[in-house]
Amino acid sequence: MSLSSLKILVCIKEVPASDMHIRIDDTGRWIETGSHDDYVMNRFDEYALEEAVRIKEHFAGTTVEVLSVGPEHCRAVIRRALAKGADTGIHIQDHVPGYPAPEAVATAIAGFCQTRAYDLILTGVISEDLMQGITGPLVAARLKIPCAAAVIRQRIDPDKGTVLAACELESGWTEEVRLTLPALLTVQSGINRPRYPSLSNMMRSRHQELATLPCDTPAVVENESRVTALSEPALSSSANFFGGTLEEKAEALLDLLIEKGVLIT
Amino acid sequence: MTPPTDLLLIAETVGNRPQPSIQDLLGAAGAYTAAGGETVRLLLTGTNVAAAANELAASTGLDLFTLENPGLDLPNPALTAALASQVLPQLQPRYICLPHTMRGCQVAAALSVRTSRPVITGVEAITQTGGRLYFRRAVFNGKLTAALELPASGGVFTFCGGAAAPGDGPSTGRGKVTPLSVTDVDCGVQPLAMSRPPDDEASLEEAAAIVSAGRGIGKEENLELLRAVAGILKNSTLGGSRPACDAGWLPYSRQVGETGRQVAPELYLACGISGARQHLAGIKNAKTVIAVNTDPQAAIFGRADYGIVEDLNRFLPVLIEKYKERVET
Repeated sequence: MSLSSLKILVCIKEVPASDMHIRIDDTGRWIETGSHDDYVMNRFDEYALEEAVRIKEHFAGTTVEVLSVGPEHCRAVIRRALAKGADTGIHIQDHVPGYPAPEAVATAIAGFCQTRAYDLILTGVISEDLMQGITGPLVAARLKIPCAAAVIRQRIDPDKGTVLAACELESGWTEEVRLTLPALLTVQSGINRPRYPSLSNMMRSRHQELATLPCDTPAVVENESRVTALSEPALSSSANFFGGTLEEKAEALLDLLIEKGVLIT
Repeated sequence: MTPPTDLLLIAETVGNRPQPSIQDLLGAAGAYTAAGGETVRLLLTGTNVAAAANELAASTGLDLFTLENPGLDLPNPALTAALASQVLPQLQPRYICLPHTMRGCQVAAALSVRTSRPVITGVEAITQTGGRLYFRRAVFNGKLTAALELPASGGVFTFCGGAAAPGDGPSTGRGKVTPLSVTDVDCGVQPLAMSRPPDDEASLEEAAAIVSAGRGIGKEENLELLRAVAGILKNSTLGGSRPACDAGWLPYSRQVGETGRQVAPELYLACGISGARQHLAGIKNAKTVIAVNTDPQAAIFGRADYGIVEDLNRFLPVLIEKYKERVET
C-alpha cells in the first residue's frame, strides 16, 4: 500500500430543504417529517464530501467512505454521496423519532470508527436543522483525535502525518493550525465548489449495496440534552408586512424609502 | 477548599486580552441569575492573564480563576478543554458556559465528553419555570425556537443571547482572583497564526443603504436587479449572505454576517435571504431592515421591520418601473 494513500470518512446528514414548510408535530417536541422529497444533504456536508473526493483524486489509493446516522430515508443522501464520488456508503440505523441529540449521534459515529483506523474524518461545520456545530467536535473528543472546525482550506501531508488547516473564526479572522493525523476537520462552506454527480457514479450509486448497521447506543442516553418544546419564534418582533397587489407593495415601498430619506429623488 | 460553583463561565484571551465575546458570557451570567441561578464564577485562560483578571474582577464583581499556559496565546480549543478539565474537579461547576463562537463550541463539545455531560450550543435565553431551567435556541434556520432542558447534574452550553444589562450581576465590590495550576499536555493541535484580510471593501461599513443578495436570488444574473435597486438609493452598495458568496456570485469581502462583516446602515434590503442567525448577527445594528422573500416562514421576517412576501425577480423590476414613473412626473 502506498505511503501516501489515506482512509477517509465523511459524516453526512439529511436535513429538510431550506424552503420546506416546517410544522411542529403532535408531541410539540419535534417537527412533522413531511415528504422525503423535501429532504436534502446538509449543505455543509456537501462541501466536506467534495473536499474528501478532491483529496482522493490527489493521493492514489485513497478511499472515501460516507456514513449517515438516521432513519430509513437517509439512505437517499448516502446514495447521493456515492453519486458524487464516495466509494462506500454506511447507514447507521436510528429509528428513534424526534430530536436527534448530537451526543447520541456522535457516540454512535465514534463507536463505529473505533476499530476502523480512519486517517481523516470530515464533517460539515454545522447542520442546517439543529445548527449546533458540535457533532464533529464530539466525535473527535470521543476518539481522542485532534479537531479543527470551520476549515476553509486544508493541506494534508500523509507522509508527514499532519494536516494544515485554515479555520474561519468570527469577523473575518482566520486561524492557521497544524494537526497530527488521524484528525477530524469540520468543513465550512466555500472551501471548494461541490461537483455535480457523474453519470457513471450515478449509475453505480443506484445499485451499490450500503452497509447497514444498527445503532448501538441506547435510545435515550441518560446524560443527554432534551427538547421539551418547539415553538414559533416570539411574534413581538415580527415584520410589518405590506399588503395588496405586487404593484401596491412596490408603491408602498417607494413611499417608505422616501420617508426614510434614502431614495434618490 | 474551593466551594462549588453553580455556573462557571470560561473566557479565553488572545494576546492576554479578553475577547469581545466575553460580553455574551456576562449576558449569560445575567440571564442565569435572573432565572434564579446562584454562584457564578469566571475562569480566564491565556498565557499571562493576571492583569486582565484583576480588571475583570473589579469591573464585574465576579470571583475569577485564572489558568495560564504558553500554548494559549492563540485560540486553542483542544488545549483549553484539556487544561480546564484538570481544574474542574476542584471547581465543581454544575453548569459550564462558553461564548457562542467557533472556539467556544469546540471547547464545549470537548468538555461535554470529558465530563460526561450533555451540551447545548447557541443558547439565546435562559428561563425558569417551576424550578426547572430551560435553554432556548433557534433551530431550522431560525424558523422555530426549541426549549431544551439539561439534567439536574448540569451540563455545558454556549451563549449568544447578548450582553448583560447594566445592573446585572453581583454588585458586591471587587471579586477575588485565584490562579490555578495545571500540567501541560499535547493535544495534537498546534496553532500557527491568526490573520484577517485588510478592509478593502470599506464601502460596506460606510454605506447608508445595502441591498443584499441571498440564495433566493437564484442565479448570478439576477444581481443586476439588485444593482438597479442600489442605483436608486443614496450612498448604497451591494452585500450578500454566506450562501450567495459560496455560490461565487459575490466576493467574500461582501459577506454580511457573523463570519463576514457587521454592518449598521440606515437601510438594509434583504433579497432572498432566509435570515439564519449567523446572518442576522451581521445586521444587529441596521436601522431599518426590509425583507423580500417568497417564504413567509423565513426567519428574516422575525428581524425585519418590513416584510414583502413576493418573488424578488418579479417584484424588483416593478419597483424600478414605479420609481421611473414617479421620476418622470
